[in-house]
Amino acid sequence: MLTQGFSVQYSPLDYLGTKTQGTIAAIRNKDDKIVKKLLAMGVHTGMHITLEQRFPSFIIRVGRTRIAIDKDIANSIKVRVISH
Amino acid sequence: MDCHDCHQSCHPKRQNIGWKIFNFGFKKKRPKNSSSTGRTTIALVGSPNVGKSLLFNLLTGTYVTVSNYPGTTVEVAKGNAVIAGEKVTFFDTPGMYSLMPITEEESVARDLIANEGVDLIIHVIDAKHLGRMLNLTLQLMETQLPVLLVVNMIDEAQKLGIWVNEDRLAHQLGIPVVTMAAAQKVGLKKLIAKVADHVPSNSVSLTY
Amino acid sequence: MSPQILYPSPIETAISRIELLLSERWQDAISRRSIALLLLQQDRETRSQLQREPYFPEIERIISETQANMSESLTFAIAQTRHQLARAIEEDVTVHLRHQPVVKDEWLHQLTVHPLTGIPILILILYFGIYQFVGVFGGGTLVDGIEGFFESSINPVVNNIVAAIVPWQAIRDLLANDYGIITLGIRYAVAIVLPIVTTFFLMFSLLEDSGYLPRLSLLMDRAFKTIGLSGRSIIPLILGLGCGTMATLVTRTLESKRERIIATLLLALTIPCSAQLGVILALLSQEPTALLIWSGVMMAIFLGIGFVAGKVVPGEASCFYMEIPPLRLPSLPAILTKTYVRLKWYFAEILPLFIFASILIWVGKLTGLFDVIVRGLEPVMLWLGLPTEAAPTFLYGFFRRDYGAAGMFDLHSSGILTGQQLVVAAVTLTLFIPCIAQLQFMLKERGIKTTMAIAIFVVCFAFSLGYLLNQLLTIMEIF
Repeated sequence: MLTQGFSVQYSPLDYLGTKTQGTIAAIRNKDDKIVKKLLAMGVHTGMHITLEQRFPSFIIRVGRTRIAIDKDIANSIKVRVISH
Repeated sequence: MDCHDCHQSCHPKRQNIGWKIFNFGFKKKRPKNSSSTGRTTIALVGSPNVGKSLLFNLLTGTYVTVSNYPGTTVEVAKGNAVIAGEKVTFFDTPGMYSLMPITEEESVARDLIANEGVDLIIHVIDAKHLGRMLNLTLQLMETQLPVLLVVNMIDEAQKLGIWVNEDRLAHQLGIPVVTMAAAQKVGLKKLIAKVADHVPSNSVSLTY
Repeated sequence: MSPQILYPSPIETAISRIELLLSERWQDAISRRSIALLLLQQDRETRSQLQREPYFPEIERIISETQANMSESLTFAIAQTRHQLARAIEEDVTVHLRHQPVVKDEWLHQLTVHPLTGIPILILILYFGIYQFVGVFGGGTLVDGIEGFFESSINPVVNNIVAAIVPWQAIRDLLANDYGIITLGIRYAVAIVLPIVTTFFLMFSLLEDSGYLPRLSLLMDRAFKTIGLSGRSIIPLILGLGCGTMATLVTRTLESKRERIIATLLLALTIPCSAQLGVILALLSQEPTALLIWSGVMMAIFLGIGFVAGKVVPGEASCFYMEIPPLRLPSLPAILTKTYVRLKWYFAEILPLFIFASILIWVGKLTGLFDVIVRGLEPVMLWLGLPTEAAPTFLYGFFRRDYGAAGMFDLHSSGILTGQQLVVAAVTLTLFIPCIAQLQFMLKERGIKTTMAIAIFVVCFAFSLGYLLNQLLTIMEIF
């Protein structure tokens, strides 16, 4: 990650609109269990992520995996947006 | 879903109905480990929805519910098979994503591996999600228990244009690898042959 | 053996130090390196196993020292290292011919998860799949057919044969007549429970194999959060409409202890199992107002109790995440096999209890013990505004929830219960204690303390609510 300067912006997934694509910049949650679970399901930093739906649950696609998550977990995934 | 009908039922004797009813709060049943039976024990582990139960059915001929929903196998199913002339016990476990369990059903598989100990772990993974699922393979290899990797659903992966090089993967990991399409029984013979390598032939056999 | 993963050096150092501390241990099935890594990732189970060891504080110190040297969490660093290696191996051993694969069932997936189309689809599936197929077809058409056959062809024959062979009245009653093993136990199992449970398991297996259930969970998650549950809980709760005992076992798949307790409580209190549901629906369908009040009251209690439990039961709020597998066209043999395996489980667990319940009822009647309990229940019946003849149905209801409901059926057809009494009795019986099998599984899954608490609450709540409902209906003069 050499090219990232100070201007890097990333936002929590739940702030983003449907169809947003990006790279996972960080996964942060006060509950360690949730971080572990996301990691175990293949949600890692640096991976490409697409937000497919926001309501009634958030649906994300990471790699070839589709995962439904709630707002709280969506908030813990920080995304560097590539396109809307 | 439940404790499946196994050849050797892990349930307490059914005839003893009265005992069963009043035996409130009995402990979680655990499969006996290898040292107490002297029989080779093999555990099938992996994430939900990768075809563990189907493979278990193929290997043991025992019906276990095969599910497309995470979390409907909640207990260990046990079934026997004869491999390389020896009786082998297979355990089918509820899905788990990593060695660190979060729900109770996940701890079932982890308890089997970490507390009971088995002679061989067959880690079943989905060829379509190879990279993601190799995580658990690496964790399982760290336990130093013998691990055999089954890369299942290669037919589905090939439809998506993904081809897995079995030999190369085996070389990279340093463990035996079998690519399979269990639903079509493709690769089953190869798997049984590799499992046979882990079944010690009983030199003091009294069968003669 | 095989090449090991190399973690960042502070972690490797910590692993070696912990391994050294663990070198006295010999009883572990897995390697010390593995245990050390689990400890570094704060794995609860490993920690609790080692907590009492003299070197545990030393391990704790190593972990916190290591963490202090790292910018990210240890769990994260370890997972990231593994992940990178896994990805690198994947790159190396796979060949990708096409890139973005065309997913042909994409539109169907979108239809099932989009709220505007997903919710109507959900309602249609529940209406046709559960209500029409299981309730009306299984619980109505099939039950009527088989039950009628038993009543007209089997029971009289059994009664006659037993009367001819067995000289003692007591033994005759054990095998035949009103509460006999064959005429009641087997009849209920084959005529009432078998058709309902079979149709339910068929439908459930179909939903399960198609991959629809995770979609159902994600649609319900937000709504379920208000009653202290997550979308995950919809599975055991729907399964509870089939068999509360099996559903109690499946609450294991829920994430937190809190969610498991709330789901167990709701299963014990408000969710009628298919056997009970079948009888109650048949009973109440003769009185449309009664059916309406019963469903309204049950729904209100489900939401109300869930809401209160969500506030009262300690523990953190549930989170929800679930992998959504692709929708698949289920294969018929797989569904039939699965239904068969579930039925087999059900009957292996439940049938002995049916027979046992018949025996208990027989013993209870023979020794006069039941008369004592029934007499004790009679004031309670009067309190609920019910005739004293209803007392036995409550007692039998404990052995099988549907025994109670079926007993009520007889009372109604002989004209003893009025419409209002019918509603009060139906609501109280639905709420009342789960059957003996479900109670046994509650004990097994939740432990004695939680189970006792739930059981006491359920009994008190059922009778208090029955009382209130009776008073309310009397004031409102609906019937």
